[in-house]
Amino acid sequence: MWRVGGCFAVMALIDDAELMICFLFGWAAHWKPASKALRFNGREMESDDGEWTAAERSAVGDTVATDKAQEREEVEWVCSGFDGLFGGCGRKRLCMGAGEDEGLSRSGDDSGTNAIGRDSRAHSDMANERGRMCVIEAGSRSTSRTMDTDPEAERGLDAGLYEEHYVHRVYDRIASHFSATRYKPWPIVNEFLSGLSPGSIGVDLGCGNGKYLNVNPDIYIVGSDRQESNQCQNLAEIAREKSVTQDTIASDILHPPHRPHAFDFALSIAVIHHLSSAVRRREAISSVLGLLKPAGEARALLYVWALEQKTSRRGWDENSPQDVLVPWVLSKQFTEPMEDQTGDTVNGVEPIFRYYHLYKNGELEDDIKSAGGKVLDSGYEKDNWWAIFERAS
Amino acid sequence: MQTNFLSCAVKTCKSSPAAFPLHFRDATLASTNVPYNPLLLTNLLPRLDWPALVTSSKELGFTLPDSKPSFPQLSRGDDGAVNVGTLKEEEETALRTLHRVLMETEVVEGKMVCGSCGFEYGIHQSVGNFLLPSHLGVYLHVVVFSRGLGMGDANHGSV
Repeated sequence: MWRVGGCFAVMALIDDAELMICFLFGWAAHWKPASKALRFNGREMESDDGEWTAAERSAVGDTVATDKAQEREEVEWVCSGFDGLFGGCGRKRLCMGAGEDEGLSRSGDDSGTNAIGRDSRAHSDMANERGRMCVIEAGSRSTSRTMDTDPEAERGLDAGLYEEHYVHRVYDRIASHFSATRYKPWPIVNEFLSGLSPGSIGVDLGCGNGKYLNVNPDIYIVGSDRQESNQCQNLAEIAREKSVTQDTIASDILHPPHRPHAFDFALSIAVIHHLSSAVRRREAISSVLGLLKPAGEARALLYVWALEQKTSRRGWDENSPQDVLVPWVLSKQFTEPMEDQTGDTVNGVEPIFRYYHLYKNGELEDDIKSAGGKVLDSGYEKDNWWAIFERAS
Repeated sequence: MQTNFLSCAVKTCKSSPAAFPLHFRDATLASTNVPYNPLLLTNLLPRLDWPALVTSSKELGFTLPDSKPSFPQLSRGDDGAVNVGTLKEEEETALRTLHRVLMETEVVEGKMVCGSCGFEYGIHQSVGNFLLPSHLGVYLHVVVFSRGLGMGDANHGSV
């Protein structure tokens, strides 16, 4: 650990000091779940830790003043996902966006008593950015949060951190219950796997609880999912327990450790819609393509959530926003999260939000083509778009 | 067996021959009961990088023949039955040995180390952790700087 610290410390002097220091401390800091919004209609809601310091209150006050011009009824969220990451830097509540460049990162070389004061300033500076960034459409049928502005521009280089909070940590928290709700393989995935010749070797990127690892006993799959090392229960381990004949690892779709061009097939079901920019989604597809053997020898199957699901509980249609935060509601009763993607309150418990990019008709195919793939077959199945493709060359 | 399909997650190592296979260190092994599947094994074998497998197995204390053994590739008939009868007795024995090493032996705890950058990937409860320290590309700095400082084998890999 000290060597890690030392290593980071040396680098901190050289390059990207702020980010690394923050990362290092953040790693050690205990991550707290998404905290509540600060205000609703200008009214302060609640603090994530139940207490506000004077400096923080002042910061919130500043924010309120700045945003009074906003006429729409909306909840403004202080994106507290960085509480854990930047907690060690003395920061309490920060928002992504503008803050990352200036306000936040300066904290790396500072700590202690000055930190809160700096927080306040950064906080105020970021007020406008934040106001645009994360809003909830109050009164709409779904309480999924939508974003006013181009999410890519907003998240920018912070996309990884954004996903860390709005995707990975959510799944770490809801893994057990999520797994319990995911037991039935999709027919098209089943068909895809069953049609593979014996001895085929493949990857399941984002294998979740591993429900696809045992569909066809005559093939070999390296299942992977994201996992935080400090979580004892998580999807990769659940998958591992369920499929003794297959292997699972924890990895990131953008940095796959798999041998390049070595696989006969690849699956990635309900994964790339969690990546928060078009560039990253295409990068993920290109990552998948990079694992496949040449055209004609290997193919991949992708599933993504569709924007067009008028008949679903969500009720989204082609005119709905594509970048949304979808709630997963925690249940007091079971101490396990209970899924309710409509956002309807379940037992009055605060939902945990997951980020999704909802794919439009044809968008998946376009992404695959621009990533260097050739679509062999594609379609719509139960609120999802899917595509089977291979390397274009 | 999965080591035969894994290399270093660091992009700059992908083209380095030293990044494959990853090397086991401090490995604790366990044996799990996995159904013997000659159909899978005989068809899987042609896809394996044998020299890499020999290296990996050796690191875990198993000795495999230097050259890849050849078996008839089994298939499933129309009735769904696998033509295991085509295997000779010694082939069957060799295949069962391979089954033990490839399918039934797992590394429960330990590390996998990249021969190119020295990065160590932890294995915990049989799940290898290939997540790089951050999604910000910080790992590149770690690797570059730690190597530059002569810390190439520093224990900074397990996160």
